[in-house]
Amino acid sequence: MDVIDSVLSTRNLCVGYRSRRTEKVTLDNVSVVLGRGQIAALVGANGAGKSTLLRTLVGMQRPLAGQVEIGGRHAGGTSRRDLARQVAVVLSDRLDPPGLRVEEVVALGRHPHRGWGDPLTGDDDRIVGEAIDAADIGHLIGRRCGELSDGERQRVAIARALAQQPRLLVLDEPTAFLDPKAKSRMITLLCRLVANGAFATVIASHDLDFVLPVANVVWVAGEGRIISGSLDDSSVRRALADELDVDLITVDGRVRVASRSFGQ
Amino acid sequence: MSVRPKGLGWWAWGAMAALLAALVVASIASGSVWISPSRVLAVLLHTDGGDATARTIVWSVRLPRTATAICAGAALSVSGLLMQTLFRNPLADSSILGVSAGASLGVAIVVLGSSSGVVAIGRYSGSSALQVTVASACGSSLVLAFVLVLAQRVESPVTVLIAGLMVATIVGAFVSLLVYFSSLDAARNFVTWSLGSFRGTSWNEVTMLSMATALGLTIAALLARQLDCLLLGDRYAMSLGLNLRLVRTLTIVAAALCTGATTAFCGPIGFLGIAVPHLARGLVRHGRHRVLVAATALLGASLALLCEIVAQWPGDDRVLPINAITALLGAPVVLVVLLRGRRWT
Repeated sequence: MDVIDSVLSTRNLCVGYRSRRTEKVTLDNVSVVLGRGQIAALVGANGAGKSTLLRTLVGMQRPLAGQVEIGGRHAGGTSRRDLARQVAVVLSDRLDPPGLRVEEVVALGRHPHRGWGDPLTGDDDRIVGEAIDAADIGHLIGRRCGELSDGERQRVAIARALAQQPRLLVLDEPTAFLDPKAKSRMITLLCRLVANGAFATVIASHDLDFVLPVANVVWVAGEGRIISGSLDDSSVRRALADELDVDLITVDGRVRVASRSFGQ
Repeated sequence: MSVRPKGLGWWAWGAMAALLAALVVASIASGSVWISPSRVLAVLLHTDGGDATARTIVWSVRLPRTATAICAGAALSVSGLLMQTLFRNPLADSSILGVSAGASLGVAIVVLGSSSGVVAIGRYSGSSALQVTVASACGSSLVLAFVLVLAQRVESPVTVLIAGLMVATIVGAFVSLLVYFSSLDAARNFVTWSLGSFRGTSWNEVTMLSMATALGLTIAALLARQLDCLLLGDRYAMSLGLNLRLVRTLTIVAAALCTGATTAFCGPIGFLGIAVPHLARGLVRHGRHRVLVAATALLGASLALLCEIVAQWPGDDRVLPINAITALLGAPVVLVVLLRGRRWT
């Protein structure tokens, strides 16, 4: 696949854990490319290494071999703060900062862009305002995070990530704990953001019905490697069938996920 | 609607400062001899030429005591705030996590371990004041760092608190052993010190205490935004570019300085550290540390003064132990937090 304006690329990346004596490789030879405005869906069974890969991509963990490039720069040589200007994350962790209000949490997204004693500038205000509008949480301004529903909280987390003005947005199980209604709002929101956003997105999720229809690229993790491609690729379909026991069917022009064991 | 996070109104800061000022005057006025507030002000503002007795009492007894209470209150409260943020646990506090016990051990080693054993605690000379402060701060930071390492291995906040209590018990056992093997005089001094008191500090010691407190509070204030990031959780904080190790180390240093210095001069004083941050959060209705650090310091100083005033009710010769008063004020706050399901105020 041709990717112009690549945001994220990895070459022969090997991820896993290294302790003093042993080295446990979870995924090897990961070579993927992701461009601006694209969504990659990272799927795979539990323990396939999705989280390890995500942690390595966002720089919370060192790769065992190979490298991650973000915006054409080698991520390993970038300081944590510089990386935070490029990569923002939304986690499944419950965002519950005691006492902080919605706009205060979103404004923390400006942290990597500010020096130690710098006050918030007019520009920061504008960016925070835009992030709040984009995540559709204007009506929550002034509320404390503790008072919000899980769906609202997750949208605050997205607004905070947007305020970071990232090139790469990484979401780890963003719909865990969300009810169906909050989930569908989240899907609409993400599609809109990525469509007019200046960033690339990686979403790791077990929720195939949520993540596959919105993805341009699918990364299937399993057996220590990543199968990457579009939903139409036969290799991706085979990997989905092997790793997750699902078939893809197209109903009314939309991709649906069907469990294989269910039909038999 | 403006999205810029709001600070606290000037009237709120004014009210807290006024409360503190009023309590300062009241605390100087009260004691075994009542000195009326107008005379206190006259002595303080140097307009009183004739009243030598009042001048002596105010300058050599009451002012050091008041300054000690202010520093101790502010330092303990802010160190409690720092620990609650560091552990993301509303019940974290220097007495609960064993940090005060660590400070006590530092003090015990210096004081009881000195060959003569005649260094009476609460009456340190210049060099030993520094020694004791350093030993005490070292003891508290070692315990705090140890408990933090434990905390990263266990998920449950309750487990962390119990682990802290156990560390406090172990450290306390060492202190008991030191007391047991020390001379009678030294042991008696140590026990008196361990009851806690804002009294009997010399200007020398007040200087040391206020410098340590000022340093601790300054670090806390400079870290305000980093501490806000910590509230989001470690992984979110890291994703915002925070150097977790550096921020944690600086926070530990600030909290240990505050707890250590206070414990060195006033003894282990409980409950201010846990109660005041909750009172501050409830009163100012704010979560950002930029506001919280200052509000906690002001309210902590005020509350410590109030405890000191209550401990020596004006006109009464008896002095109640300060720890009894702080417990009466602080323990209910802990109970309220527990009953609300450990939710933050």
